[in-house]
Amino acid sequence: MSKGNYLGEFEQMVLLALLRLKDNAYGVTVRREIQSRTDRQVAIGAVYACLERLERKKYVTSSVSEPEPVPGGRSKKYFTLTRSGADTLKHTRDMMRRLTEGVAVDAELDAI
Amino acid sequence: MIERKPPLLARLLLHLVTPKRDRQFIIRDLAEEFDILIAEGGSTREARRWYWHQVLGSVPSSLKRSGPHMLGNSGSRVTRVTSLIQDIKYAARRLRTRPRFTIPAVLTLALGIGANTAIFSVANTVLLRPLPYQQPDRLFTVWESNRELARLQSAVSPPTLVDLQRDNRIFNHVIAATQNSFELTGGPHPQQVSAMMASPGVFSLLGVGMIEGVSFPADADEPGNDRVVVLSYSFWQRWFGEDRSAVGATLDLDGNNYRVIGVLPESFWFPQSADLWAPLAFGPSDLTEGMRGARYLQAYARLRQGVSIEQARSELAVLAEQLGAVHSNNAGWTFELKPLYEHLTEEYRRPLLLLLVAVGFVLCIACANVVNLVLVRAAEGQRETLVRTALGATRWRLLWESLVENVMLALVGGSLGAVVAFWTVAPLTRLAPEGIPRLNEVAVDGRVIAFCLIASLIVGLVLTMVATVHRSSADTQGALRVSGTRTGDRSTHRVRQTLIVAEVALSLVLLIGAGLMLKSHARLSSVDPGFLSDGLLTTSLSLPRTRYATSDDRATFYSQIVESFGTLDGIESVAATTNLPMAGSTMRFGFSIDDRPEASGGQQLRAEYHATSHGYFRTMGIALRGRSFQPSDNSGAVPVVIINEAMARRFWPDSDPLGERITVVSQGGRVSREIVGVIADIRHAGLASEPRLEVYVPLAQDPWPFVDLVIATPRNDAGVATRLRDQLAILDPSLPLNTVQPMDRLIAEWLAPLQFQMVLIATFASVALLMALLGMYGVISYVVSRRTKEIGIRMALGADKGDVFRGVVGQAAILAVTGILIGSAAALMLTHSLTAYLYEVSPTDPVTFATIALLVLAVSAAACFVPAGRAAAVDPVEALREE
Repeated sequence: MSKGNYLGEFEQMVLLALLRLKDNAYGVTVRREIQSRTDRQVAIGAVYACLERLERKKYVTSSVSEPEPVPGGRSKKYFTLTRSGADTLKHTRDMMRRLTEGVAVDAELDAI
Repeated sequence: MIERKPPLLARLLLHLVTPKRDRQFIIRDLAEEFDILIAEGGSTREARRWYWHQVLGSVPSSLKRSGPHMLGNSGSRVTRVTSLIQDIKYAARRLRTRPRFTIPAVLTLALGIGANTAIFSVANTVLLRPLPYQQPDRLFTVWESNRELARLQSAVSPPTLVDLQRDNRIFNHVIAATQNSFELTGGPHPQQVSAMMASPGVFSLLGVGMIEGVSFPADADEPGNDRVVVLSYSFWQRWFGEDRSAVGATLDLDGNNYRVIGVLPESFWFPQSADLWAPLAFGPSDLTEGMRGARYLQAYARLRQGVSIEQARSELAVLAEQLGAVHSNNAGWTFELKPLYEHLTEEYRRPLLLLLVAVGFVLCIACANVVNLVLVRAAEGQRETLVRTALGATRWRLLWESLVENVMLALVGGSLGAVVAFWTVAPLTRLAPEGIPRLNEVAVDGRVIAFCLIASLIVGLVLTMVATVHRSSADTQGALRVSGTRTGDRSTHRVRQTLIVAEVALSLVLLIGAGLMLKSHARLSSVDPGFLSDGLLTTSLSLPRTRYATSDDRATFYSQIVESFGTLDGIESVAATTNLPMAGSTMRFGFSIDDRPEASGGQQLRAEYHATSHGYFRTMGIALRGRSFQPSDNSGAVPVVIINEAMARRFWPDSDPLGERITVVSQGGRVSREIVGVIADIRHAGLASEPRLEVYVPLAQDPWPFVDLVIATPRNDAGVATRLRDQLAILDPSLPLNTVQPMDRLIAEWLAPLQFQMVLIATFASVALLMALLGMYGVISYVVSRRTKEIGIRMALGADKGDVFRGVVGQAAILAVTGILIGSAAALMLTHSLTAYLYEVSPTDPVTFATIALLVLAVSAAACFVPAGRAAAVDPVEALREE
């Protein structure tokens, strides 16, 4: 893994949300997942902008669903994590883990 | 009522900023979450606010990804965004480095756009915002109408209302509502509370739910079930401190126990405000055949879904026909349907449109001034522009830059204007006369901001257009070649002159409008109302029928009040009457002249009816011949009456009516009375209305359960109100006295709406004149500075200072006179729309037209004296050396 595969904080959040949501990951669910778990306001535009960036890097793929079979039914854009995306996320988390190895991080932080 | 849809403006913004590839997904995602929020029980307001947050939060990331795709031109999106940002920065820098241009331009625009936004925000709330009810377009007012009697919009009688309610093919609900007041006891002092008596279906009709408790049950209008009340939010706050246990509590109203069953939401609004709502119940005596002629109920109806208004009208015509065939009191009467919205706003539409036009003029003048400034800028920047053109800048490039700069200028001015509007709206609505519907809700909302934004954008476009027209007419090569020339560009100069003429014309129209209103107001204020209001206080009393059941009870109480109040310290005299002049209330009853049936001409004669205590005419300073009422004119004495001069003139033009007899209808039926006095005409219905026929009878002979009191206090004594209340507490401790206020207030309140309109128009007109003055000053100074060399040569050739001075003034005078001529012609065409607001002043009043024209001419002269003086002071040697 080269250092070019670095993932930003928000990118990690989005990828982790995709992981949790499995095959139900589209704009609304991704946004709500991040917002409810991190307690921070997330704008839908930011989610889409991030997903587009991740898609360009081939970390996620998207597919557009058939319109729902109800009057006024809509089609949704679903996102899935790719193998390469999963590897990069794993790599980023590995880095973080290695950085904290052998340190009781929480306890040390509290002591400051 | 807020729409249950995402805000339109936010959706539009979202549409503009999001890149095409994800646009539909983002918009639908947000719509989905918006619905979820509402389904989860959030209010529409919260959901809309959340939506705005989402959209505004999405703007930066969306722009960063894609650039504003709406600005379609070549190049990648990223370059385009960068270039737009650069253009904006460039424009901002140019504006910042030229404060002498930017500051006056921004302030002028802020004033123009701000004034427009403020007036628009009022019009928006009063005229444009849908009524706060469910499906307000299905709500109507229902009237009885009789063409033969020329009574086109009459209220509805109780039995006819019941007939309307019974026929449910057309309407879901038909209700009536009428104002009432109760005496509320149980608190520290008894107090008067206002109430609406309404059919139980009123809240279903409006589609308004309770925040606590329930609405009226359907059978609440049956006598016996009607001792229930619904509280307004403000009364709930005041009396119960927002305590939820208020529901189920009882209130003592007029000595009866009423159970509280519900509380209305704070946002609830109804044309007449009230503390309480109680069911309007009809007893058998309200529903007799005779009562079909008693038309006094304001009726409201909700049209059934699927029934068109034409269908409803034809169904109502059939119903009216049927009723007319059976009941003699319904014969000849039909029904009239009028949308509730129209009923509530028609009175205010014209005045508000008038104000919008006036304030629109101000914006036009502001624009003309800024265009003048832009032209000066363009002239200064001409060489820069030309160099850039020579170096290869395209015409589009320059146009785009000037568009960015002007739009930015307008937006800064507009934002400042929005702040101005925001701060002026509240004082504006406080100044406004009472009675304008929903004026307290006036606020700067999304639609007002959108208005302000659009106005700013249009202004920016107009500025760019004028600047461009000017630039394309400039001679490219010439300007480069003749360096440092002071020779003015003819086409620019013509544009500037045209603008000045337009400014003068527009401000003249506004000033004439203001002048006419001012004159009319002066005429009205000098009308003699027929009574003296100096040193008079007024208040009122109503006696509960339970404790003052008989005429004798009431008559005795009134005479005690008048007598004991009159002996209080600081009070000269006290009198009572049923209807004060100019207070808006009247009673009209039929009368006939004894032994002269022919006087009526076969018609029922009607006159304004008053019952007054002795001493009333003296206290009010009303002139009288014959005799006034005496304490001895009581129920046991001979029935007497006093009439006014208008009546004497009409029926006894050549003889003295004193001693004649007329029969007057009143509470107690028809009574023949002897005329003992004739009073001077007073303007009872307002200063602008001609005196009507009036009859006065002694209060002791016809004591009504309510009276207005007039109290003459020679000294301006603040303690009088307290002494009156204390004295009343001695006579009847549970009776409330209404607000004590000066009689002058009634006249002031009557004048208030006209005054408000006049003050606003006069303000706009003054601002317009000031702007025109500055514009004129700017142009003439500019012309003088450009002609310095020419003036120098002339003076070197022997022209004296006077010639130069006169030349400059003459030039300005031509512009001013042209403006005045055009403006007067426009005013002649426009002022007739003011006719309704003018009293004894013709909309083409020559004196006003001439005075205003002279005023504008004088102001124009003043505007050019300084530059003309500067021109006359030109030193020929200096002027020639300068080049």
